[in-house]
Formats: sequence, structure tokens, C-alpha cells
Amino acid sequence: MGKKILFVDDSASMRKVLGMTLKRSGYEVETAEDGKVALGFLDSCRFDVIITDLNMPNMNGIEFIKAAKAHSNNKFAPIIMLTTESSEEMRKEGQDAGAKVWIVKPFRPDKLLEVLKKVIG
Amino acid sequence: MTSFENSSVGVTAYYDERFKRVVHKLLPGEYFVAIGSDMILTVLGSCVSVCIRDYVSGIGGMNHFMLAEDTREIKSDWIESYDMASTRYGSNAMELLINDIIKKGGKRENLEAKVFGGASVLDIKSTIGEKNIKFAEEYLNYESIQVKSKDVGGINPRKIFYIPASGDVFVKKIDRSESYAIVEQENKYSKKVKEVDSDGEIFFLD
Repeated sequence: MGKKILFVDDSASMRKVLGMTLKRSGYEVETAEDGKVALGFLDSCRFDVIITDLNMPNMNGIEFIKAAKAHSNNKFAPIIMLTTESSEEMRKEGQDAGAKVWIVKPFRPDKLLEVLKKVIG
Repeated sequence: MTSFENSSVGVTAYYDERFKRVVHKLLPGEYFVAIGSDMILTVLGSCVSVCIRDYVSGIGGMNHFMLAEDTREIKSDWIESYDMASTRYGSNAMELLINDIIKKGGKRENLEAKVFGGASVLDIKSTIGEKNIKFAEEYLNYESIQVKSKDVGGINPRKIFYIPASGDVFVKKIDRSESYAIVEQENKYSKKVKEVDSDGEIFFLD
């Protein structure tokens, strides 16, 4: 069984790019367009890793991470932020919320796969 | 930090007597989201500008970019070519603008777009302009953002004036004989785009 990944991003093209990249590498992927929709997945599924964007409507990435970290099913899932934001201040906020890795967009698909291997083996 | 990236920092502004409003002037590689009734202006040769706004709140902005020439052709579905630096750069130019609009209060479901540029000014036979337009339109299609109007292609550079609050755009075609400075500026920009390392940094936070 492939490892399960939840990917949260409000951009449909990003969801397509990442979904394709991950599936081709043998991962199982669920995608959500914002934090609120993503929360719905947490109840029914335990993920091996969560990848999330930061700037999203309804519930942003930081709020979503905090909610995921408080969720009994998924509080131990490592979290990767994938965002256009790169400031130290924002990264600190992500770290405090519980993110493990911060990747600045645009990302190279092969680099992301390397990071995933490091994070979940 | 990449050596050259899309930015809204450093966009210059002035008060325009004729339009009776503040005008923000975009250079290649920049984007800007305007507040109130401000206007955004840019001059395009083969580059493309996408004007996007929330048609309910009037919050919106414009970008100005081109895709680097690549040894490989972009596949008919550009998503399949995201491993190419040029498509990563283009999709980032689009995402930065959309993110900034949403950060300033725009709603994704209300976004509408207008597309300009992509003329063959560097070389009449060149397809760079066409490639830029195709990418912008496909990106908008993927994001389900409706294109309300466009003025693209041809051989003349364009001056674009955009008022996000109303969605109005004024396009002024520029005579090819006056396009030398535009071509020079785009050449400089295209060189930078080619050299850009569009590979964001990775930080391990613990």
C-alpha cells in the first residue's frame, strides 16, 4: 500500500501538478481546496504526511496546521508547507504551528519527492 | 532567495492629471494589486499581462511576465511540463497575483480576467508571444477564471491602462517604429528570466 498524502491548495493547477507528481511516484493522494475542506478528510483518514499551501480562502494554512495538530487521527502526521511566502517571520509562524518543512514555490517536483523521502522514508 | 523573481516591491507610482488618479507603472517581472480607484499601467511587446479582479469588490491587479525560451517545447497540457523552469516561472507569476488579490480581500470565486500582449515584436517569425498567451489562457482555464476580454498577438506593442475597481481597460497600440526601447527592455528581461533559478528554497524547520 502506498503512503497516504493530503495536499491542500486553492489553486486547481497546483492540485493537478502535485497530484500527478505524487501518484506517479506511488503515493495515494487526496486533495482539498482550502483548510476547511481538508479538515473533513482528517476525520475519515489517517495520513502519512500533509502538504499545505498558506494563502487560501476560508481557512489558511497556519490555521489548518493548528487544527490538524489538535486532531486525534492526524496529530503525528508530518506537515510540509508549500507556499509563495518566504519571509522568516512567516516561517517562524509555520514552525510554531507545527510545520516540519517549508518549501517556497515555485518548487521542482523532483526536489519535493526528495523531501518526502526524507520525511516519511 | 532566487536571483530574480516576480515582485510587487518597487513598483513606481505617480499622479496622472489626465486620468485624475494615481497610476502604478509595472515593469516586466512585476505585479501589483491596486487599492481604490488607482490605475495600473504597463507597456507590452511579446510579454503578457493578465488583469484579474474580484468583480464584486473591485479588488484586483495586473502582472507582466514572459516564459523563458527553453530547449524543450511545453506540452499541450502545460501541467505535464511543470518540471520545466519556464512553466514554473509563469505559474508563479499568476499565483503571486491571485494570492495578493485574495490577501487584500478578493474572493476566488468572483475572479475575472482580461489578457493582453504577446505581440511578435522581437522578430515577426518568433512564437514567444504566442507561447506566453497560450500559457496565460490555459492557466486561467485550469483555475476556472473567466476571460472577459483579450487583445493579443499581432506585431504592435501595446500600452495597457487597467482600473481594477471598474474593470475598465484602455489599450493603446504603439507604432513599431517606436518599439525599439520596448524591445530592448524585453530583451534584458528575457535574459534575466533565462538565468533565473526558479527553484524555491527548502527549509527544514526543526
